[in-house]
Amino acid sequence: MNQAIIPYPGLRPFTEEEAIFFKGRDTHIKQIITQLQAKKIVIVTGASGAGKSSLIFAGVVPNARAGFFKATFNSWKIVSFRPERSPLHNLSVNLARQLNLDYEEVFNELKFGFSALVNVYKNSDFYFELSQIQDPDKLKELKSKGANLLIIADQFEEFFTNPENFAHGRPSIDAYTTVNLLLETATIALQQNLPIFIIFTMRSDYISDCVAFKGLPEYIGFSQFFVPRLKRNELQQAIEEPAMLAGGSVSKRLSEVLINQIRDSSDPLPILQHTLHQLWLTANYGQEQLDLIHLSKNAGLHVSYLNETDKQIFLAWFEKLPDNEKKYFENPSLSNVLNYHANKLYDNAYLYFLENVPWVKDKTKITRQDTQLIIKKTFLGLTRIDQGRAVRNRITLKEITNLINQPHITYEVVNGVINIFREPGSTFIHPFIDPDQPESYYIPADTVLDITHEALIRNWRLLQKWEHEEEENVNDFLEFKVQLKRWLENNKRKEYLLPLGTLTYFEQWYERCKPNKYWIAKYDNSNLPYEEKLKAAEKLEQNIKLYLQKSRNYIIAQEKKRKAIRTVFAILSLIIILILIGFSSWALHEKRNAEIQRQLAEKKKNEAIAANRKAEQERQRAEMEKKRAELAAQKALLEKRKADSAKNIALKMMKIAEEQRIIAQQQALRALREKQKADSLRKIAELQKIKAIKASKEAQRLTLLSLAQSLSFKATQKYDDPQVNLLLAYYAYLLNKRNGGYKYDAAIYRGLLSAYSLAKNISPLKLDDKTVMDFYMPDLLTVLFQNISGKIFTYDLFENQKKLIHFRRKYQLKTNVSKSLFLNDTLLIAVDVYGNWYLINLNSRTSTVFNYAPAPSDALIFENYLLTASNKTLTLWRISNMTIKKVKNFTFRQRVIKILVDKNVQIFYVVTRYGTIYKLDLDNEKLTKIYKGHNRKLNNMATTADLSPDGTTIAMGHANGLITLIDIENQKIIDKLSVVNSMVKLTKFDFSGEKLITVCPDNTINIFILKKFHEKPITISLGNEKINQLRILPDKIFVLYKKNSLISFYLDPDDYASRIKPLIKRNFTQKEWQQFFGNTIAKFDIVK
Amino acid sequence: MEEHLVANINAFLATTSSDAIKFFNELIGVLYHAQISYRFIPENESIERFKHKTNELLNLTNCSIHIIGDKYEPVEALGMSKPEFQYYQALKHLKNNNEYRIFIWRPAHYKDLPKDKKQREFIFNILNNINENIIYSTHQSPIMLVEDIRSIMVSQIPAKFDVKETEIYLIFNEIDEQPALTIKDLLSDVASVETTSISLSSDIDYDNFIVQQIKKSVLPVIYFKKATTWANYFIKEIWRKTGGLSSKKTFLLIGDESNPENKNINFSAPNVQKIITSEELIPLEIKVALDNIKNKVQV
Repeated sequence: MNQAIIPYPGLRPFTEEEAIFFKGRDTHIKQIITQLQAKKIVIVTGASGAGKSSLIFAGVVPNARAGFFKATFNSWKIVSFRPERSPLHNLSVNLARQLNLDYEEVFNELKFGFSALVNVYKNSDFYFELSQIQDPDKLKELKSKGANLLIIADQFEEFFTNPENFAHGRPSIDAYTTVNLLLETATIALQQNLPIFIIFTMRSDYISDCVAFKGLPEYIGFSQFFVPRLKRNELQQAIEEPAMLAGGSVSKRLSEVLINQIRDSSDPLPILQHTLHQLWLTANYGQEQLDLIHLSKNAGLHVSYLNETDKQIFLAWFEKLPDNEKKYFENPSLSNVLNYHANKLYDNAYLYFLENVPWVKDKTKITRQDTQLIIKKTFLGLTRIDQGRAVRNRITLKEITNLINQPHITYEVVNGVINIFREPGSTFIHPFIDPDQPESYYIPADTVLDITHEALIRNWRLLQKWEHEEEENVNDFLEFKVQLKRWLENNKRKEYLLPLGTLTYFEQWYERCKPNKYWIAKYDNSNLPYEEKLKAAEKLEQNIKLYLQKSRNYIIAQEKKRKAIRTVFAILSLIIILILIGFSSWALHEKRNAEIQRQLAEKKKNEAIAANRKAEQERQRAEMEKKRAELAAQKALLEKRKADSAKNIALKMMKIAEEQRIIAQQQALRALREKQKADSLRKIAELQKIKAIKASKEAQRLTLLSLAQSLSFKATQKYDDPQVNLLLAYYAYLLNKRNGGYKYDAAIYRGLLSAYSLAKNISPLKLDDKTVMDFYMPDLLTVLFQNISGKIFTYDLFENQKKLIHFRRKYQLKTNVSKSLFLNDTLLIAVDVYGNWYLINLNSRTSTVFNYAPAPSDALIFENYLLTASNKTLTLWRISNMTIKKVKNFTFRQRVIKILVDKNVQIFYVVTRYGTIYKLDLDNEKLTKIYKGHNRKLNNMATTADLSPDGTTIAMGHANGLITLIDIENQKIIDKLSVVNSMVKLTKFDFSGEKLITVCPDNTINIFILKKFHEKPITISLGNEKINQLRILPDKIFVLYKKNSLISFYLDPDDYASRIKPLIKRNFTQKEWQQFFGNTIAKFDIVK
Repeated sequence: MEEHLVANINAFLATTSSDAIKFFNELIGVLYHAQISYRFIPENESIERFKHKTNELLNLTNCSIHIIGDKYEPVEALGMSKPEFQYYQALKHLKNNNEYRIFIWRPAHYKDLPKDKKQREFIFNILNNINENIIYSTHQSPIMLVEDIRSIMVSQIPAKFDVKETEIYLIFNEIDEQPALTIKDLLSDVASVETTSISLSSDIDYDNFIVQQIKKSVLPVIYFKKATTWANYFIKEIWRKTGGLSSKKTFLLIGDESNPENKNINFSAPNVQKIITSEELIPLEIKVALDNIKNKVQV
């Protein structure tokens, strides 16, 4: 573990860098953050030493930077300042630094108070108005550029404790402006929801002073966080967890003792942290578990509380301590740890000065007493009494030197002496020494010094003693001033000089205190600037000396006068005395006799005492013999220990050998791991390579597919040589096929169709001059059709001949045909304009009128029956020798659009306009609804339907261009697809059931492959020519369009390709290849 | 907040010496008013019954309270005083029940150590053998003791999140989301990866969730490209929340060298591996770090 890590900071607060060791406060940190997020300002109050500053700098700030404090921008600008003597300047300096602005400009702006701070922030490079930004990328960019602003006014009570900020119950303009700025900023931030947050930390005993700032008490009521005392489990965390984080540990018994002891302390947390810091050092930087013995070694626990083993260790250690340190162990307690530490530093200060202060060349002039005086004056300068409370007082190095006021004690000397209290292990006086910054050892004379924490004032007994003396000195000084003032006000009359007793008292005070002008100025509580205070103090110093001198002179003069009178009295007294002497001599003689008797008695007594003494001496001699025997025993013990030591050394040598063996092992292991790492890297590299190859192949495949598409498109263009079209279409087909392209790719199909049509000069076949109403194809080569005038023809496609079918007797078609429906190759229904239905038999060449109704939307013939659908009626007819008889009518609520039957002619379905499907049981003449349509809206209505060859699916077309596929058995929609923005006119399955063909009013035919229903279909566009009818044969569709023309298309691109190939007579030339393929692939030929 | 859990405290009040009876009686009154249930053995029980009842009550409770006075008062049949006997029984019970708590109260009224040597030894024994489940207090008043008991016995269970076992747990700031997701995609081929994007505008309580997810991960990785400052603070907070050096978890802090600021990232700890490297090598380094951890586990 790193020796330099100390997870306890000591007396000072945790810094941001030490946040990782700040434990026990997670709940409080979260509470403050929640409050800040809601209210934008939090005033953190608490007793001295409650941990306010640590909570903010080591708690809230790191959490904010780590992203646990949610605000607008991704980063934070932390403006932290202390009021000290010039709050507005301090705020401006830190704000300008954080926002990269000029200090002067910021200061001049902030002087106006109110919204000035908000304006400075908003005009900086770190604020962006995000509410208008729509583009998410831009928003993200600005969020990362901007920064939220957190302003921390630490040690807020300095607004009240520093006379520059607050005097005679009133704040200075500077102080008032600063507080106004901060409060207004909080108000505006809340109103406008700006990412600005403000924290004050303040001692709670200054809350009542806050009334001096307008609005501040209200804010305290609005958003205050009073730092609570830590609960037991939180204290335990604060004690044990930092050690764990740093790789050490704290014993539970130590933890319990500390918890119990700090509860009685007035500065629990600073004392605790300081103690733990010391224990960590004593435990060899945490290499040993922190335990009770370490506390004892720091004078924090009496040795009697230790177990036997630890007791012995402690006693042996204690024996070696210097005598002057032993006295600090007389009253061990937790607060005594700090006392002991401070005293050790005080005792060692002279030695430290001699060894560590290179800038003072001649150290011989400085004595130990001088160093002690310097320390005393320094700490007295750094403290003062304020309304009965011991508080810190910030003072410069120069001011301390002036207070000492001795010519050989310069400020360099003072710097060197007090450095022992600034070292990292001590940190009693701020600024601290940073060993990484050598310049921090020597500080300029105007550096402001400060005590780290008031806990030092309350727990260092020597300092308390000095404070007490100082307090007495100050009280005496104040008393003296009253007397002096009276004398000065009365023209320095002798009646107001000091009497002897009082004079002696004040002369002792003067000798003790040695008040110089700096000391006097320190206790000047007026509002005057320091220079003027000093002048007044100088005058007062002179007056003090004069007053004392005058008083003394007066007393001496009075004394002389009294002496003369006393001489006269003396002579008279002598005569009286002589007379009295005579009498006295006689009395003396008698007294002498009595004395001799007494002396005899005394002699006897002394003899008895001498005898006693002798006996005592014998006893002591025996005692010494005993001690000698003990010494011999101790010597024997020492010898034993030496032998043990030798044994330990041998063990250590063994251990070293073992360690070396382990190191060698570890190195071997390391080498193995390096090899494994290399293997791992190699595997990953291989994986990467495979992935790259795959990716490259895929890219190539996609390139070729894309080329195929491009060739297809080019195949639809006109070239001088039709062979080019054929070649383009065929190569497109080949590339698509060879590279796993979609077989029914629309572009490939179009290219093939176009090239083939061009090569074969395919054009539509005009069946008749008149409009053809319907057609039927019994086979691939025969077309049956009826024209508008009712004539029926056959057309032989092979012979390219049309033949009229004559009837034996003219069937009475009175008008043109309004609708024609071929039922099969023998029967058809023709409807004239009046609505008469004719059943025409092409074999017998007869016809029968069997109905009078609007033209059927659909009709179906099976066995001897005929089903027709007309409007909302489905009619079953029986046919017998051209006699047609109505069997039954089925009436529906909606129009019937389609009658469907399976290939075995067993199951019948009826589809209505709403999309509802009924199953028709002809045997029982019963209809059952098997699927309920929900297409009542006009544009949703079903327009067409077809049944799949396997009888499982009905494809339904709708007026809004939708096609739905319905599973008959489960009675639910399997799939749906929107084809066009207009009606689906016709929908039919092909013979295999794999394709679905639709016709739309825009005269396009779409061929869907059901397995890839949502892929782009093959589309055949017939331009502006209306499609009247469509018939599907096994591998072709025939389309009746242009009123009387017929055209056919293959359903499968393979069919086109196989027909194109024989038509290709040549290969691409090199030039053509370059033109169409470029350098994508190497040329290959298809014609050998 | 703590009221609904007070009912779960069930205390065994150990017998105390005659000089501490008044503290015993005060404590009963406070426990009653704090609505904490308690049991104790009456004065006049036989020794056999006393022994039997002690063990029985220890089994029926979830904590014991022992008030230590100045007098020892040994009982011949026990070989020691009653309080001392019950204390040792409580220690034995603790060995079998890790959730049990023992509260020792030496009231502040007793400023010095007892004159009775045996009692002194008993107290030293207690002090020198305190462990995780023993709490030693010197409070002035039983109210303070009961406040401590409540705060220790009422444990605040943090919200449990639905976290998954994973090999790599990738955490990044939302401004680095794009490159981070690319890294995730590449790593997903070779290891299981969970991710969390830290967004300041989100409502998610990240710190508890992340701590729990880290516990279920083999290798937590903090990735950064632009969010250097965030990464520097984030790793500190997360390292601290997961136990720092005392945790066995190895963290990987990995940054993209294309941002020159990333070289300034300054946090270091023995269980945090820090790498700044080119974008292409980042997934590789993460995989290597993961393999090293797995190999260590196997070895």
